[in-house]
Amino acid sequence: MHGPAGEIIYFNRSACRILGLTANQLLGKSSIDPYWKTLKEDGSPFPRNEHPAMVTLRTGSIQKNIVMGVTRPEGPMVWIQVNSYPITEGRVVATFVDITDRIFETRRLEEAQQVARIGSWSFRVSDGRISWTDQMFNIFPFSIAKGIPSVQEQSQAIHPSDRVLWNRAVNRSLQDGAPFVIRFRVMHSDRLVWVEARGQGQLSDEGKVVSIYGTCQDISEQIIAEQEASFIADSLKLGIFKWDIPNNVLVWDRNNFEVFEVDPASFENHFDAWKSTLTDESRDHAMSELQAAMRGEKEFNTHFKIRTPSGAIKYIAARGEFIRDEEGRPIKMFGFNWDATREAQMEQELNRERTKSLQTAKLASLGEMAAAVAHEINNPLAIISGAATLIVKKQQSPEMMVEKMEMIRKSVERIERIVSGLKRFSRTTTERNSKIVALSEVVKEAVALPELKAQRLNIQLQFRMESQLQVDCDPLEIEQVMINLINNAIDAVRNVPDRKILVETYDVKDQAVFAVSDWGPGIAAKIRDRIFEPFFTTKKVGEGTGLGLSIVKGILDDHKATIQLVSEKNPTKFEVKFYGNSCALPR
Amino acid sequence: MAIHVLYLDDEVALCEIFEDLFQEPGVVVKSFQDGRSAIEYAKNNPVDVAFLDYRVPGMLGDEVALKLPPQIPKYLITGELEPTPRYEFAGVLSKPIEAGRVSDILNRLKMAPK
Repeated sequence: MHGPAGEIIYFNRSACRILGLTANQLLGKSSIDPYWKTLKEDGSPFPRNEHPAMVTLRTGSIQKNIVMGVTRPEGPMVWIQVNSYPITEGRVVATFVDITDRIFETRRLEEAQQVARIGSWSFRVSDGRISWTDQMFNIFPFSIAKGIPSVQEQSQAIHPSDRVLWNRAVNRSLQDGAPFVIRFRVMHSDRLVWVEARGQGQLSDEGKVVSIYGTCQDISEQIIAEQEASFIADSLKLGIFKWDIPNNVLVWDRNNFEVFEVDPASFENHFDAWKSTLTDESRDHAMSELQAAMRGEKEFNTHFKIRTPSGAIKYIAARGEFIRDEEGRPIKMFGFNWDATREAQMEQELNRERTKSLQTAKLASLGEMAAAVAHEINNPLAIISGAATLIVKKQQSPEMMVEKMEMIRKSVERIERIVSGLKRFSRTTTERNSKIVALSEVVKEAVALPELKAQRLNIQLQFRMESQLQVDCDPLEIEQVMINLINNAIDAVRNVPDRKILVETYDVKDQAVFAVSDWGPGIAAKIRDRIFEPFFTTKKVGEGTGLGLSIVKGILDDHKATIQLVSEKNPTKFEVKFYGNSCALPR
Repeated sequence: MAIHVLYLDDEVALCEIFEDLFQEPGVVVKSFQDGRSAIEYAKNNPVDVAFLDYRVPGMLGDEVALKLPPQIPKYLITGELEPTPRYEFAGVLSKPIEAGRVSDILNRLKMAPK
């Protein structure tokens, strides 16, 4: 209770507690005492003569719900809500409650609303009073200083095409309190703001709508993102599907109908409507892919063929995701479809091209090999034929005869070696013929042909056979690996001064290693990742098929063996390792 | 006057056989195992005809032919299935060569007026 000058003449203990002052500190103080520092809700100083008790003293009027921040001698500031009533002349009672928590709560809410660009509003039916949080003034083009605009003004700010939406939703809610969610555009001087408004009515006990309240959210960014997404979906002709699994409701968007060339009007919104578009050939595969994805075993990412109502066959690509309940059961599926017919055709064309060039390459390598073989055989043949001609046509001493016969014998042996080197090419089956053999033995078998080539080109082929291990392999296939690697090394050094190749076998613990090193120009870092690709070659057209290393890789993969380029230059070194079980101890 | 024959083949045995077969009074055969020494020889010595193997290390037979004096008739000897020489040879003999064909060429040269 305040006296005529505002001095406190009576108080209770709650007042002491809330203000954090002792009885002595409080008694006799006035609310205009400079000792009191008070703030308004917006943080500005509270003018002393506007304190509710002072106003009531001065005017005799009741002051209600005045919010005031009070600094305490100790501890943080306290927010109170004050009411003051005149009792008699010069006597005022002020009551207050501590609303500190509420104030901070409201502030946090406002901050959160600002971040989320959500404003909240309410409309009281009885007197038409509207309340807005600050954020509403950012969403609507009104200045907070001018106060809350009238319903009329608010409506004017909404885009003319959307006004009817707003009016209809609000009017319905005013009648029965029905909740609503609508989106409309608000016109600012420089831009349009997309707003999502949610609202509902508050009903009295008699079921009458007392007020409606709700939120407005600035969703412009979201709308832009959605527009971009739908623009992208449109331009890629991505069809969107949604499948409510428990209710078996399948929903397609406009694009998806175009993808499937199905008339939306004739579409029955359930799973079988989709299934019936699939060709017989595709159905089982598509179903098993879908079921696996529903079980969560794999992603739904597949292709299938459909027959359009006009009878055309189209390839459709599909990607989908599931929403699952707590027990992991899929309850919703959504995803994309697109027409992959062109992709599929291109893929087929590409495969055809690939097969064709693989065949061409096979033929080319066959041709290359035939030419090499012809040359290798024709030389000893020329010796045989020449020596025989000499024996027949020229008078020869017995020593000369023996010499010529020896030449012939050596040439025949040479031809035999070449022919046995050819056996690996004569295989017609792809079945593997595995044996346990010493790696070093396989190398000895393999080098016959490359050795001839190396000799002819004046290339020094050195051997260092140290491996004692046996490997489980198809020797003919592994010979092919070795021949390809050595041939590559030969091609690498044929035009360099240091024509040297080292072929090695050695053991590293239980691994048997075959290695080829050459001192050629090396393998550039930028191509080292590509060297095992089929048809990748640095050789001139006609000189290489680009298949050598890819064949090597394929064979080694089949053998669970590895190949690695362990050194790019000086020497360029490939290491082939036969791992684990494929190695056995020498018998 | 003897005719001078140049023979190029990296196979030593074939060089020996060629010499044994065609070296006779009136025919001097000189054989080489690499293109460079054959060219060097032809620059400083009389050569009336050259028989060049195609696959010779370093320089192929047709490259050698290009570098030999142009007036010398040159024959390509090759074991290739489809030889595609970059030089217009007077003739191509496939390996193994028929001794008779070489003899014919040599005889024609012997009779030709110098």
